[in-house]
Amino acid sequence: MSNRDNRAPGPPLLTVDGIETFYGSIQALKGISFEVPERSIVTLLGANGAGKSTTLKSISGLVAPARGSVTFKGQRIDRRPSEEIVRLGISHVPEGRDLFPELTVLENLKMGAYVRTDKRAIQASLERVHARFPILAQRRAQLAGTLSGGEQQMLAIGRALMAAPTLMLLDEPSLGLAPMLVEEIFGIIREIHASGTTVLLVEQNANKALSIADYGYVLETGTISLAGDSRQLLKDDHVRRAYLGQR
Amino acid sequence: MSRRVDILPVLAILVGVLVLGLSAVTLADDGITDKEVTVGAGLDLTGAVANRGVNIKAGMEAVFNRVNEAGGIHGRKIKLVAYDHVYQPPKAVINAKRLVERDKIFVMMGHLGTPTTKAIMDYLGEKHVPNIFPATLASIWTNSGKWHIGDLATFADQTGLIVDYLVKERKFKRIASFYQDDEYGLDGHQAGKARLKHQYDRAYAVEVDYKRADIDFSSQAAKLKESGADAVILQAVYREPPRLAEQCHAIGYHPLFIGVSAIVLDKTIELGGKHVEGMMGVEVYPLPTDPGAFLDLYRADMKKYFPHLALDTTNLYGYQKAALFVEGMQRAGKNLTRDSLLKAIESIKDWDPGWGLKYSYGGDNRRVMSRAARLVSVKDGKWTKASEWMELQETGRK
Amino acid sequence: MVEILTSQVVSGLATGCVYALIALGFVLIFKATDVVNFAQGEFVMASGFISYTLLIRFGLSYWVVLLVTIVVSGVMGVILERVVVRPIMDAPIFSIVIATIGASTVLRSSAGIVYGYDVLPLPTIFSKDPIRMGVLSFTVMDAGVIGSSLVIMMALYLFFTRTKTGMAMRATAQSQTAARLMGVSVKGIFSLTWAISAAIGGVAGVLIAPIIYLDPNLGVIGVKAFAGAILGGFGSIPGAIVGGMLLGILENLSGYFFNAGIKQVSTYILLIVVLVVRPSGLFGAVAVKRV
Repeated sequence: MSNRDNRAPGPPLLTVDGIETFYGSIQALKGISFEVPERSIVTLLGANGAGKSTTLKSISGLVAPARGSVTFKGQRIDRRPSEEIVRLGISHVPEGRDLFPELTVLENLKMGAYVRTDKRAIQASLERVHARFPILAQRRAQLAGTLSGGEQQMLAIGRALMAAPTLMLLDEPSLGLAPMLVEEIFGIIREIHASGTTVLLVEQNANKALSIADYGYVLETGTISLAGDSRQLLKDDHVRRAYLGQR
Repeated sequence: MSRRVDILPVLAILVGVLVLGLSAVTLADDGITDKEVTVGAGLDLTGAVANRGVNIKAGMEAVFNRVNEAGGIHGRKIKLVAYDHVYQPPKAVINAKRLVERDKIFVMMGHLGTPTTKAIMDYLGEKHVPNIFPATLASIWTNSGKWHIGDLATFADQTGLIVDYLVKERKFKRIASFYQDDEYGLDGHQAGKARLKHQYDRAYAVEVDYKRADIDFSSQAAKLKESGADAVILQAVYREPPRLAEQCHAIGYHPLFIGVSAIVLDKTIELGGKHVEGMMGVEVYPLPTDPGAFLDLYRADMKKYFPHLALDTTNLYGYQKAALFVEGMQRAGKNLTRDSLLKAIESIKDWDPGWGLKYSYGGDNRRVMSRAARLVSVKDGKWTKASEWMELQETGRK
Repeated sequence: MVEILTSQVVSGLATGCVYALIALGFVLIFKATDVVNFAQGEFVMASGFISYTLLIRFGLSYWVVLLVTIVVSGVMGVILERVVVRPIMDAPIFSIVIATIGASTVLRSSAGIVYGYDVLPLPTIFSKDPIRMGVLSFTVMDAGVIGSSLVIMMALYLFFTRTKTGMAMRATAQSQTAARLMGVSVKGIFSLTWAISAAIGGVAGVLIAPIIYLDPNLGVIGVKAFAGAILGGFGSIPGAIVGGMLLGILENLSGYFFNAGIKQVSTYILLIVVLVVRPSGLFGAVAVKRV
């Protein structure tokens, strides 16, 4: 991407500092620290169970970290419930999309704008989402549960966009999709980023993720084992072996 | 081995204590000392017919309180232990066992409900605990042997009176029966059927039943209307007649409703309003507002001990039971046993407590104290007498 | 004959509408929180006593009483949720269900202590006088109950489909996690669900108590409504409505064609037949599969 070379890395929008998160007595995160600069794409890589999804959940408030802090736009958010965090401008597209299957496509999108009150601004967002995902406009009256996998992913992203977020957390958006759809999804992520939204991306497709990201962090069993500029990571031997399937 | 030998003397002592204990029990009846006699009651205090249970208990307590304040009977105060059986036979059984085995009652008094009392009658008989004046006028108490004794004219006899009245005086051709499908409703229902058949060679125009907890009688109303009955005999309690009348009127059917004494309550009128106007019933003792020395005493006692309760046929029902029991206790004298009490009650003849009606034990080989009855009807929202008192003949099912 | 049959159906439908309202309360709470609230019938009973107090002791007018009763019932629902259910929300469902059974006993006993166990007549604006329309024959009361129930159901339908909060309630029932991520306060939705369910129960109480009289055991009508909800497929809103109505009509017809004994068990016979033929109930959700 052309803007990558001459980007001015902004001040950190999100700072995660030493968070430790537990599920019952099992420690999923053992002190994770990283930053997401404004207007960047940052990706978290790692094997299944490394703690990528838990990190996103700890940011969006679905789980509360026991120690450490999460700071967003200069405010501590790690003790706040999800419904407040989304109001601050963080939209989380969870793994498996978690749509409302028995609401229509349009209702799902409206739910995305639940925290907003300006009807005209919501209408404008809806038109933008429809323009970006014409299929969602076509299927507006259909129940979300009846969409195909790719359409559901688009709806999940569209729904998150309806909140007009500053930061979007994306958890495995390409999971289970056909290669053509994967391309499309990554194209969409680029567009979202280009329109000014900061993106924190969790991906199993490390190659793709690093190709669009500014920074990457590699998680292993609850800690960050490697961090750096995504171009450097793409060249890193360990990353190539472990996550890019190259020898 | 040595341990087993050590246990033997202990066992011997235990057996000895048990034998002594048992023999002590056979020497005197439970529930009685020189100072006190314990009377048990099983009532519905929180269930479907709680109105009856609460009032019967109050009526009995009013008498016992007065008697106790005056020093008791032959020096013995009366202690009433009452438990709530919620008008459910299984609970009635548990309560009866608790009363007999733990509270050691001398007699069971005013036990409420036909199915509930029937459930415990054999047990009481086995334990030789008298079942005195159960608060149900089923005919079964009057012919079930020494341990059971009823107080007032039975539902069966009352139904005989109703049938005679409808056929002979009103000249009605078609008579229907609306009855509760249990021991209570069947008692009068069967007696009426027998009376119609043997006396008049007829049958009910239609027989419709309902279950104790039923709240809707529209299908019963429809069947009654289709039968074209001129009169409907009600073997019901206070909840059903108003609702049935409403639902009959709703489909444009206006027969004469006439029921046994269980429906003759102010509650029936309170619930039914204009729909029960003209409804008839049988009364087996005077109204709480009638004149008479006994009723003056009743009104004074109720005002003194239960000022918050309105005078009502049901607390009077309990009151007269207790008064009759006290009369029996007086007659039994100082040396009171269950047998002597029963004999004393059986000795009551032409005894008028002061309301113009006389209690006499027996007649027609039945263990009942009174067979007086009269007809009443709802006039301007009040139960009003519709005939003079009469003595009923036996019409119970045979 | 035809006239009698139609009047049976209409009066059965009136009772059935009340079952349907109570069943709705069961289903709303179940859908939103996975809890089967066995105190639902007690909302019906309590509202009867609340309106009795307001009408008889305070002499307020019927419509004021209706409104106040609905609001008070709703508040009672919230209190029950906050005090009884929320503190143990993480406990196994079985424990929560037992807690609601406990709450129902407490409510029933409290009513008994305050009002006694006597049966009371609750006044109503609907008379019990008959109306005739061709072969149809019914009472003003029947028409009033059916009409009021339909109005409530329509209002609920509009609330769930046309308002943002209604949509959020449906969304929360489908995925609590996603609803939280959208900014929905799930706790708030739970409270609101209990409030609405209790308020509907309140309406049912004001409608049914004048018909079957008022006493602390009135809540047992909830058992019938529960059967209606299962009949319709527990968890389905249209199912609760149709199930409740069907039950009312079936009871009446079986009482007419057979006797009181059959009438009493007809509910359960139908329930067993439906569950054998269609284990998920009449309207049981044919689960929308996620791809």
